[in-house]
Amino acid sequence: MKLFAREKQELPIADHFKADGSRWSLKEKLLLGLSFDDYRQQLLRNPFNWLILIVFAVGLPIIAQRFLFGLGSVTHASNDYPWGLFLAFGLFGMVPLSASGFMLGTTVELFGRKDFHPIERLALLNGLLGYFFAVVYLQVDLGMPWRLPYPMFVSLGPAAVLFLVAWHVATYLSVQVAEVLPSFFEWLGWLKGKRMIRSMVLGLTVAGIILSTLHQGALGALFTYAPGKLHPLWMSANFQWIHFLTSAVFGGLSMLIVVSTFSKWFLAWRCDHHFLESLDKLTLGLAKGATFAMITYLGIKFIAIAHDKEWVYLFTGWGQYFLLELTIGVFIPMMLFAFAVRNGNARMARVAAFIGVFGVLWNRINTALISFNWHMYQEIPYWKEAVITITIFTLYLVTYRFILYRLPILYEWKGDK
Amino acid sequence: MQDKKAGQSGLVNLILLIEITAAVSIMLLGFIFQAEWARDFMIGVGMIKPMHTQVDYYSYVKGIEYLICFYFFLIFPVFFMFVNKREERMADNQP
Amino acid sequence: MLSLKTAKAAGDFDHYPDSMGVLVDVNRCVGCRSCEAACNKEQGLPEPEKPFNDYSVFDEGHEGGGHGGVGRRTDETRYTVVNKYEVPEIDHPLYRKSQCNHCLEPACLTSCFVNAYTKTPEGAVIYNPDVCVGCRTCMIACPFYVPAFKYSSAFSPRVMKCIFCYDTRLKEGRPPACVEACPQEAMTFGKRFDLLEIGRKRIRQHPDKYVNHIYGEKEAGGTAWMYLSPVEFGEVGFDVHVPHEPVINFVRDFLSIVPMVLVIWPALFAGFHLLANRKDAQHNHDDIDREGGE
Repeated sequence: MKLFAREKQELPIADHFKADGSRWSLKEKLLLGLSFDDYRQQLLRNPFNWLILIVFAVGLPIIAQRFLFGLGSVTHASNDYPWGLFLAFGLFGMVPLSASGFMLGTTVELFGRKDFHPIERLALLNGLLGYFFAVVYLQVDLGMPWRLPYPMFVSLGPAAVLFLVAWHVATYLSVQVAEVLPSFFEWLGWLKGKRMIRSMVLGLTVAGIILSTLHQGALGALFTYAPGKLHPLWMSANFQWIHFLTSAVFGGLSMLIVVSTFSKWFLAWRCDHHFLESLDKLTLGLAKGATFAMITYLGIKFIAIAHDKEWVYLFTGWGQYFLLELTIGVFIPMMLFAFAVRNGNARMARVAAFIGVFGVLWNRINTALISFNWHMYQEIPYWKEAVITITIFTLYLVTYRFILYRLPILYEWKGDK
Repeated sequence: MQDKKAGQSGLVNLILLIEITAAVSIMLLGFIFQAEWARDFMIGVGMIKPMHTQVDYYSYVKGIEYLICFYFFLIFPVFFMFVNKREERMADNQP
Repeated sequence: MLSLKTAKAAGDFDHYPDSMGVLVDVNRCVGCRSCEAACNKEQGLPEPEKPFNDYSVFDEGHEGGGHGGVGRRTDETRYTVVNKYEVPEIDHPLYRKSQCNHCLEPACLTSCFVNAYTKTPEGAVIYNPDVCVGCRTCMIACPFYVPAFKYSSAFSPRVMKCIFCYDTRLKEGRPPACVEACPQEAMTFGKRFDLLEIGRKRIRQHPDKYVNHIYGEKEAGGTAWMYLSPVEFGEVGFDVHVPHEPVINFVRDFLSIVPMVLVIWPALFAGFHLLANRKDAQHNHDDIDREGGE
């Protein structure tokens, strides 16, 4: 696509009209203004697409196997570890990384920080896709995925934490769809729809904050059901929910920096100068937020240890592992972010963001898999489980790229808005 | 024209608000003075009944709490708009 | 007539004072597996690979085996299992039966977001597969690792767990199949309240034969199935770290915050918005107020 954008003035499409004044048709917009053959050619030219193809070739049959022959055929079917990689990575990992949507929505719409506008839509899209694919992971993991709406409409168990997660993820997904729709309407040229959404943006944003606070927290609170099964250092009956919420703040901001970095590297042709020119400054702004969230997180982690009087565990192997997680996953990126902000070094902030994203994922996997059943044996997921996890993640990347190529996320639409 | 429209929706909001206020006040008064109907109502909807386990009790109270929250979500935006619209009209009259 | 006082004293619950339970005496169990066989028949479970008179199963682990002393556990083919334990104090092996303990405050019930579990007045914790979504949170929540999932099924999976023979026996006041099948009278069926008395009496009369603890009296807030043991419970496969309060107590903190966030956040953040944009509101009220709408 890079090549085509260089050759043709009117590409990439950022307007309803071609250079000669005629309107782009929907099909042309979908094909990025290329002919079908050109489009296929650019797909085949990209080695990354071949990698994707290989992943799908291996992974899709295994996903089919899961739905035809049951979870037992692709996992260890463990009754001691009822939640495996699908939830540890897909639900507990993806959701905090999607916190970017509500945070940038709050920054721009609620506090009126319009200077963050160029990256707001990317943040919203990152949120939407992260949540959507968390639900996809959940659907793979649920025993009876076709009963997904049961907790809402058929049989309600309001005292359960998962009840909250279900309701909040469902309503928040709709909120996020509404938040991303304006870019779709601009692309489509249906301005009435966009105005309609704009008129309720404050309501949507506040709803986003409420729902995010609660279900980021609720994901943590799910583990308070197993106070004796989790290692005490990863478990805090009182503060688990706020640990998860706080780490989601820097997780989401770090993820946004990572995604914007990838956009800059691989999708520069699609970004407009607003985005590219302000990116370094915005990255440092996000870094500042992330580093404050990280120091807060470290503070409340130690308060939780003090509250449950767990200092003695720090001197065991588990304690070393716990401190290693905090050092690599939180402390090092926190310091890197801090230096990056002080020295105006966006590149350093990007390095920190990659580590930060890893840190959050690592924490969630430690909580859900590694420290779970710490007094029993360690479950190592079956290879097919890992393949399915990777396949769905690849599907996520493909969807992400498909949307970024087209909708005005990384650029501003030049036509009517 | 727009002013009139804003005035109309303001009126609708006002009526809604008065209705809600009245309903809530009557309910509160009923409970404060321990009216028989208030107790009958609470028994009728299961707000007063013996519970044998804490888990059942929680399922029950959480359900009621979330229902209240749900209605709060319906009321709050109306209330917010009602309060905010007034400010707009005042600003209009200023210059 | 109910007084408002009952509603206020909501912290205390009677846990169905007449509910039934079973007292298992580890001293008396000889590991004959009759209870396993009876359960299998009563509940219509699939026939096991090894017959019930094959005692080599006591050497099996589970989940791939070999995981230091975990022993067999309940799974989709069995609601109850007996495991063997060699303890240094006693010259013969001890056997311990495990199944659902039917908690007074069931963790599975409180963690279920579709209310698939019910604690019946008779004492059983029963499960309704018709609404279950298969999220397996109950398996996370159960402090005794009891519920199992029918992983082998793609189209009709469900949770598999002992239901105290509720449908076929307990409802009519009869003891569950395993209790009836026991040749050693290792299990006593009765009102939980009476069983506690019996247990205490046995400990009092034979202090040399029992440790002074009834497992299940307080564990996880109390269970309907309780155990007596001649050795420390940790030695015969019990989890002695199970908290002595119901699992819901650990979740309560978060649950009480939820409605606060739901009701406080709207005004708090709408307020932040008004505060942050006050200046604009005066200069350019049109724009801001339109955003301020629902």
